[in-house]
Amino acid sequence: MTSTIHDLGYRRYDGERLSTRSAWNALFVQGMRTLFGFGRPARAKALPVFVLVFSSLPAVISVFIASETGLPVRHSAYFAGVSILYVLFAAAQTPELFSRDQANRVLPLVFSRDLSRWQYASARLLSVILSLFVMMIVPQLILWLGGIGMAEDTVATFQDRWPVIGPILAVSTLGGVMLGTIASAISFMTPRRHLATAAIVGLFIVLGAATTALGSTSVVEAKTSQLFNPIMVLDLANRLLFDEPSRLAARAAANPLSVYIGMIAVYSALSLAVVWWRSQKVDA
Amino acid sequence: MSIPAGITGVVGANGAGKSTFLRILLGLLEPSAGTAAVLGHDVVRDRRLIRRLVGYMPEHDCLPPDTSAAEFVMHLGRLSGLPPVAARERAAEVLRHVGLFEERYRPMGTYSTGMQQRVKLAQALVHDPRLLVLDEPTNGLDPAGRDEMLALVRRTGSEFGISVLVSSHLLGELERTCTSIVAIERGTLRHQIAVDALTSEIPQLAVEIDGDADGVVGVLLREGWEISRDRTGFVLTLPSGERETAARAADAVRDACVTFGAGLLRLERGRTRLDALFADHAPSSAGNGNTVPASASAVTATPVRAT
Repeated sequence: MTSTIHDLGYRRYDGERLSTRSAWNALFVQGMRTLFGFGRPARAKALPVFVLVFSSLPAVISVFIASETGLPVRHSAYFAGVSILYVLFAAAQTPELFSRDQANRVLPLVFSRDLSRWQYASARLLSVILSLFVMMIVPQLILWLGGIGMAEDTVATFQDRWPVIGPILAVSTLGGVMLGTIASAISFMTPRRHLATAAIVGLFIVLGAATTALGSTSVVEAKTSQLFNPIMVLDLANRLLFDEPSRLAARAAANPLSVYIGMIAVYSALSLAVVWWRSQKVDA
Repeated sequence: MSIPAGITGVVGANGAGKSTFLRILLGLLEPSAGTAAVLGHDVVRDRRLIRRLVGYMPEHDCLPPDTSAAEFVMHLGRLSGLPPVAARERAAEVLRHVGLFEERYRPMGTYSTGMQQRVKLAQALVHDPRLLVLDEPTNGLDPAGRDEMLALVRRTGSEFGISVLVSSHLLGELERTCTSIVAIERGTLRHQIAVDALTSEIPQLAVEIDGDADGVVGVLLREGWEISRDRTGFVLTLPSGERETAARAADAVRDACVTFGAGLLRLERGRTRLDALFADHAPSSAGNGNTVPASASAVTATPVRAT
């Protein structure tokens, strides 16, 4: 590395310069790649692949053993069965963006460019939300398309079942937004990835346990206590949205759908406020 | 105070506030008092405009260890608003400029400190800024690495027309690199000095000899030269700054050494040294040194302070 070799190097740049919007897009795309492990070592791909495969497995199996009576697994019950995998994905991957950026101390490089703190945070947040949305919608689509494809009269079945795409989009969006903002809010608070992961998993476990504990006392009615468990709120919203006849749904969902969707909005808004607050405060 | 275009050193002890000053200029910190402008733009009001024109190399580590330099610098080029293809080309170009070739495809966790500092410089250059802000670029480098980094800073500043603001706690380093220097003491911008004016030759010869110093000095005094002894040798003050006078004095010293069989260890024109100058500046001179027209300035600042 002698100085003569450097002489080949520098040229002025007088080409096109794009808007802040393009910088935001670049950050968002890089976030998606990081979350799914693209362009990163194989071990970074392990968890996204694991979650995608195992959360889709019930749907795949269900499609292949489907009988004339229909699919053995219902859309409405799907989330409850695999929700732990989504929590795992959110807990493991969200800190890869929010905590890692702090640990590697790249924020001063980002903030000293023409990107506001909120633009940084929103690009990161949106990539987390979209990645969870993808994780959640894939098994639902397999179930939906598989059910149509394996039916004897495909055309008739499609005509009968195409409106299900509405609730599929709705539950994936609600789940992505709520889990994504909660996980982002927590992992933005610390540069330590493992701490953030533990805190996210811990939060859902604690809230789940608290709900169960509250429900078993007579202090609070189950219909109230279940609202303190975001995962259960999401599960019950799923069951009501798909409008599939189910005794379980009728018994467990003690509130109307609007209450569950309202709670999802509350959880998301609170977490969003934390993300905004932290974006203004975080060291750069 | 106004800092002219060119390479300007920011010197101060550890903790004096160099990084804070630079971060205020970038809008990363709010000044708690005072105002500052970079390239004519106010650091609070126009910070986004400033950021488009400035490249920043922080003092601390800022490289994700599992990412390659090529990918990292390209990504930051995109964040600076370069189109994808241009970002890729610029990344390769600036990495070559700082002396990274095939290594740029390796994860940065495997890099030496010297290579990491180069990548940090490259990411500050990727969008071709008009002003480079370098916070302690020689931190952690060995002497050879320091020289290479300083040469790179000098070349970038002088050959490519990019103004540079470079901080260091080592005055000697800045003396060799910069065209002007500002000092920061305990959070206050103290004084600004153009390096040329201060490290210029003064009418003195500094002499060190090995042998009969008293004899040599005696001969020179008899010849009428004005001499003052110091710790390691003596200083011969010339009656005028002309070259011939200095040559005559040098001949006289050489002849005297030959006469007494003494070894001549050092014989050079005296130069003002910056550290001596800063030592001379009493704190009462704070804030003066406004020697350069503001129109040519890269940075202007009234005393800024951050909590």
